Amino acid sequence: MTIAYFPGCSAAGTGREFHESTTTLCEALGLALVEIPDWNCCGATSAAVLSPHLNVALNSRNLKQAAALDAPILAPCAACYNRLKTAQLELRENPALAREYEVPPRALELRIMNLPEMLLEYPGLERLKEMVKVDLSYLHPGAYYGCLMLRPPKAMQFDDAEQPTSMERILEAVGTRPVEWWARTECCGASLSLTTAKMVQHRVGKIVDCARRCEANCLVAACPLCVANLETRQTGEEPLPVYYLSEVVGAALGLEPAQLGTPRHLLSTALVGAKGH
Amino acid sequence: MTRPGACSIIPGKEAYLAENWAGPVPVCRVGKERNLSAPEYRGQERVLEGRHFMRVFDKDKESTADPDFVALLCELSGEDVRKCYQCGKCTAGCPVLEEMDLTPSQVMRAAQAGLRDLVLDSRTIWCCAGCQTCAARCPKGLDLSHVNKALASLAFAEGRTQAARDIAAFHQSFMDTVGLLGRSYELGMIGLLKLRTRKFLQDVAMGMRLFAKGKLGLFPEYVKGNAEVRRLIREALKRTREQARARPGLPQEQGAGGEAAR
Repeated sequence: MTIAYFPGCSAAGTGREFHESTTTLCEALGLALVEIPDWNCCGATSAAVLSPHLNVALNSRNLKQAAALDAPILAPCAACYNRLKTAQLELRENPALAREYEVPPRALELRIMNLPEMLLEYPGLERLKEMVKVDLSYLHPGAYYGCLMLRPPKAMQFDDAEQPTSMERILEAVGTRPVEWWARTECCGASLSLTTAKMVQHRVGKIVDCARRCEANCLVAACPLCVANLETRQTGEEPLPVYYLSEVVGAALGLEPAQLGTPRHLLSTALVGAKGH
Repeated sequence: MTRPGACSIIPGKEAYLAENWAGPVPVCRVGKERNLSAPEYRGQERVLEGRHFMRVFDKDKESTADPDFVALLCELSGEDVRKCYQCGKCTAGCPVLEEMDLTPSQVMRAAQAGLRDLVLDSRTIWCCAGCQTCAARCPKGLDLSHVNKALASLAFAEGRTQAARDIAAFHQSFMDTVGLLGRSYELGMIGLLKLRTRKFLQDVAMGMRLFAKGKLGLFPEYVKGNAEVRRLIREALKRTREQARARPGLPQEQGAGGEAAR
């Protein structure tokens, strides 16, 4: 199975362990990731602030580049996933725009997936269960979805926007015990982290507090900006560790922490309890 | 200047609602003296005095009602702003409310009323994190993040970013690296941001920790087609500016395209 991979800019920076764990995991799952040739930035939040036309403009080029591979696209970063999918929808609804940016019709039909979406299908929950080698039942993760994987629901068409379950189902399949908690789809403050740090600290504090009260011993997310904010803006004596979904699934499959990039985390460089508690 | 509920009118100028909620925030352009407590204006008066305008605005900050503004905003944002009926669900669920001066529903109401300066100079349009919680919940299917971003892009085009200079500088620095390289480059973006905001010491310790973990790339990655990316960005910005200028009733030369034009 070939999958077109859109790593996103954070793969070379703050989200490096997400990139490393995703590629390692896909290899173990027998999925051939092929990087989209010469992809460019999706524009994240900033593009739309400068111009409402910029999202479609930037991602039309990405979709064109992806059309050459003709495979479903995996965009693990939630922002990239959201922007690509929004732009694709807008181009699909407005053929004149698609003609203007010279986007081939094939590019508008390509499936765009986020990481949980891909895992649910390739390899699927049953197959994942069979592949588990390491017992991770000591992990009680709070699955944190954040915003952009789910919202706006009419464009994302992935899971339930208010009560999603896909990450919990995956985490359960690989042997962890996800907790029930309510701050799963609350915003972490996103790109305001660098400019209004106090507000982001407040948001992160609320999210972490909720997870802790619901007896989570770690958070699991699938967005590099969420993880960066949750890691850097947590205050207090004993911060709650944060991991990527790909790392936890990879660890359950018996992959090495170094291959999964786990030592790169700022808070906890090994899965909670891995040293025997 | 007037008693609550009434309205002082200078012929040919704006009508103002009075001290009760806003200080001088004009309601509409009028040609002759009007009393807003008169029955024919009751709807308008109620709309603007309603619970969604409870906040007291800066009395010195006058704003001009622009009847064409809502159409421009609909065009730029792709959302029919006129549909909003002020249920307040967006405000109820907004995670970044604490940073805002107007609530999201107030921005919608003010935009409908054509209070152009009020919304363009508001901090709210910059603080919107784009989480789209409002978009998921709006009973009219509106996406307020699109509205806020369209407003921010207008404010950008006019160079009026004083309500949130830091945030504007962040977005600008981010897109500068994308324009240069085709991809965003965190270290370069942070450098530009610090030059623009002059907050050199903020988050330096955090940066060092990230760097030690190999999570701040020293050398940027770039796209071979970066010239094409640059052209796409330039054209999109140009298009926004032209749309903003094409509308009558808007100032023609204010800010001369703003810093973003560079």
